[in-house]
Amino acid sequence: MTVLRVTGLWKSFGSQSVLTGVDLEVPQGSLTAVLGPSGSGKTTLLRVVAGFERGDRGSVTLGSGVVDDGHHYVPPEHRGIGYVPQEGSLFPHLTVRANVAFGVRGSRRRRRGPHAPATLSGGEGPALPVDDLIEMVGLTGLGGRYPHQLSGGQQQRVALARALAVRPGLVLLDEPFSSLDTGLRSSVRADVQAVLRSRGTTAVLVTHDQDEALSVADQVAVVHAGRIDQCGTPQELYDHPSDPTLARFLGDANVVAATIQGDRVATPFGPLPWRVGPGMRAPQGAVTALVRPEQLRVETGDGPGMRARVVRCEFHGHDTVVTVEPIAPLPAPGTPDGGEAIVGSGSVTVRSEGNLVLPDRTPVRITATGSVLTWPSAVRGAAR
Amino acid sequence: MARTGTVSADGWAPTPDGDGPGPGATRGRHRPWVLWGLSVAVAALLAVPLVYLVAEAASSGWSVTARLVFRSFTFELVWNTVRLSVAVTACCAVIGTATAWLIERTDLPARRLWAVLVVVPVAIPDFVVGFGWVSVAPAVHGFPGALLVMTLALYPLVYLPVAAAFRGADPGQEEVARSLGLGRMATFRRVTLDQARTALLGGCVLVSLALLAEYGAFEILRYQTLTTEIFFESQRSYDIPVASSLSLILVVLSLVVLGGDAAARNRGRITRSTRSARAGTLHRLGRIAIPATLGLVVLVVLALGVPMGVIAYWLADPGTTTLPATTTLIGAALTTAGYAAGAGVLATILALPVALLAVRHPRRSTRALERSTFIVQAVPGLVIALALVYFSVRALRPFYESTPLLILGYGIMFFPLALVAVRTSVAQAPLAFEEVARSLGRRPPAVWWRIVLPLIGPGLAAAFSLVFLSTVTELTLTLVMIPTGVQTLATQFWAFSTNLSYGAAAPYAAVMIGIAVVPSSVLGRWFDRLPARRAPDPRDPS
Repeated sequence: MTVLRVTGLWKSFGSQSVLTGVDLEVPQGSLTAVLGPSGSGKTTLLRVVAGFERGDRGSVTLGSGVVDDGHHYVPPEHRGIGYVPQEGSLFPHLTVRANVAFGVRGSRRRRRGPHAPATLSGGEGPALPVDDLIEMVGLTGLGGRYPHQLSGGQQQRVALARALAVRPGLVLLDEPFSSLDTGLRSSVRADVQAVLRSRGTTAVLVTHDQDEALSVADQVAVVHAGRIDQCGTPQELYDHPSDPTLARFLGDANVVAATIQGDRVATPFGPLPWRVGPGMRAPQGAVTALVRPEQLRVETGDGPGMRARVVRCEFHGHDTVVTVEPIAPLPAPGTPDGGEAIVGSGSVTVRSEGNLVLPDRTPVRITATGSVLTWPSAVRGAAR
Repeated sequence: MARTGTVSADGWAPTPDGDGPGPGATRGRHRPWVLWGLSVAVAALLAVPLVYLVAEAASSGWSVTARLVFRSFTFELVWNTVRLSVAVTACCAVIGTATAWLIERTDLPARRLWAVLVVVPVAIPDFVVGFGWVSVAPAVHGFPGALLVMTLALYPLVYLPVAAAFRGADPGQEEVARSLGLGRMATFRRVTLDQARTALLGGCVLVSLALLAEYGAFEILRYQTLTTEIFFESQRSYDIPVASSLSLILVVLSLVVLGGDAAARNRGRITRSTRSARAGTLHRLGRIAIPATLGLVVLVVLALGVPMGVIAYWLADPGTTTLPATTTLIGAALTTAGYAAGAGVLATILALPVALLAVRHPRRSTRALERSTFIVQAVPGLVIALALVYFSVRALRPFYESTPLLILGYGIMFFPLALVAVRTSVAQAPLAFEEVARSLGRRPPAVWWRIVLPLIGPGLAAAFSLVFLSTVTELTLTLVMIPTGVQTLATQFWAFSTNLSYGAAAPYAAVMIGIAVVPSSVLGRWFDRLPARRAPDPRDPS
């Protein structure tokens, strides 16, 4: 069952178009990440779904009820959603317990408005006991505290408990972890994910952090310039991004010019098996190919592969990221007019396990394993 | 001019440089037409005195106005006003900054006690300070007398913002300067003073504006300025063309002060890389502590001891007066409290739409509207009074010398004070809170009642109190606009003291100060407490 369906949604502020035809479906029980750079319109999308803004065109459907289609508009208090804003926005004059209980007392208050269609079924039923919620987000004993007495991570947990307290059919999280320190971020993120999963709550998370989107969500929708570019599971998106721009946005990517030769594709790193995105036709001739850094290996001595020199070695503890440049300019296969084989910066990124110390300018060989994703050579983002 | 609390006005003044909508702001919602309408109406109301000046000059003919303006007597008045303003502002800048540095940045003994004592004079009206000196030392008069009295009365207006700037400044900057090889003096000059520059400037502007608007103290000190002459021409000679052309000059001078402030402010902005203020290490005074303490003792004795002592002296020795009192002490106190409460409510209500518009819909246009309302700071109470009397005589005869008109005068005069406090309080309740509350199933009225009001309530109370206290000690506008036969504490004090019945005047001064001092300290504590319960700073770009 689909909890949230957005169809052809447009929204502009003055002359500035922010959403230009967004389509999105969120299945029940899923955690969907809306991923996009700042200014892409992802927060506006969330605010229209919450009812803080009204769409210009298109429709928003929650459960079985249309809540915004340009004519009808259901105010936020009748939508049955939970909302966790970026800073938590805990009410500063209320204790933790009063914050969590804010929407709870007298669940009759959640009655439908006169012209509001039934929205989300999750909004029904008895509210959860406040103390259980506080315990669930790991803040047992802190119910009497005021928000300013809590750390940033604790505040976000309270904000989540407050949103869950009204048994929302859908929880909207607006970059809830971005104001936290790196170390705290991953632990709060994991806890929030666990709480949402344990209750089977459907949630939409807005974020600009691709790492966060890929690690937490069941479904990722990438927003770019007011539209959803691609939507799928994290694996689908990482393995089959629809174009090089998306590929780079979802992680480090080496985009190279290559040529199909039967069941292999000739790349600067040697011939490799190829694959294409779902629904794409088998490629022919010159293509653009994606090689992820973890597919590459740095080797020394003689042998096959791309001959290169080390530009930079960054040690990250769990792995080392080596940046190399081809020793000689590398013409793209099938383009004798001198197009470069390596698209983008002209350098290649390799992720190598463990510690690898290579002085600058060390001559190395780069080899590849696994299959590479190929696009037609004219795909967006393939030009230098 | 009464000015309890104007001190903080500058510190909370609107930020000239917002970086687009913060979390407290809307993201391009539909235009808030109702707020716009109300705010424009308020701005129009505040512009009434300026409209009056232009209308009056036009009706008597610009050539007549020009002749009145360019008389040699006018030049003398302007010279008197300007030279005193410059001299007092300079003295206040030096005393205020030095005191603030000693109390905030050094290991001076009993710093907390001094911090209270040097601020208290701000609650004593200038004309009471003048009365204190003149009644025991008649030699205090003219330019030197005015310089002494006004400096002692006004230096806290510099001290308060500068001390706040020192408290909030990044101590790392001084340390970096020392590490780069600057000596103590060079560091003070190039780093410490620079940290306080905006605050110092703001304080100096307040001092200058207060001087331009002051009437009572100069009358007592027999020092002739534009304001005393305007008062004389309008209230004794009934020569309105002369009074209003002089008012025009006075307002232009004030506007020059405000404009210079804005220009200087835009030249440099304080940047601060870290948000959390670490307490800096205090400078060790060593042997300098003794002369420094002596200096503070002299300052406090002159600024606080003399006026309080004189009032106590006259209270103990009431003497006799031939002037019949038109009111009792209690009657005057009740009248004063009534007016002040009305003024507080009115100014707070006027400030609310403007503050909501400016904080919640920060655009170039709303900021411009908000800033335009601050221009009323440049209009002395006397000029506001003349304008309202002028319009009531012409168009609203029933309101002439009426209580509502007097309260309207206070409301206009103290609007900037109220706006500063209301603005701060509205920023405590960013729209995000309302959105969350509504997503939790609460309707807008419930959200206002349970979230918005509790959050902005203390700030509204502060705005009310600031205006209340300022009204209690207001003299000039009250003298012009008060209904016949009614006396406030200030006007009754004035009637006695100008009649040289010092003993009879003293109790009124005592009650006035009693009402002003105690709540001021409570207010000060509220403003200090504010950051602790603050939600994420809406001005902080995130």
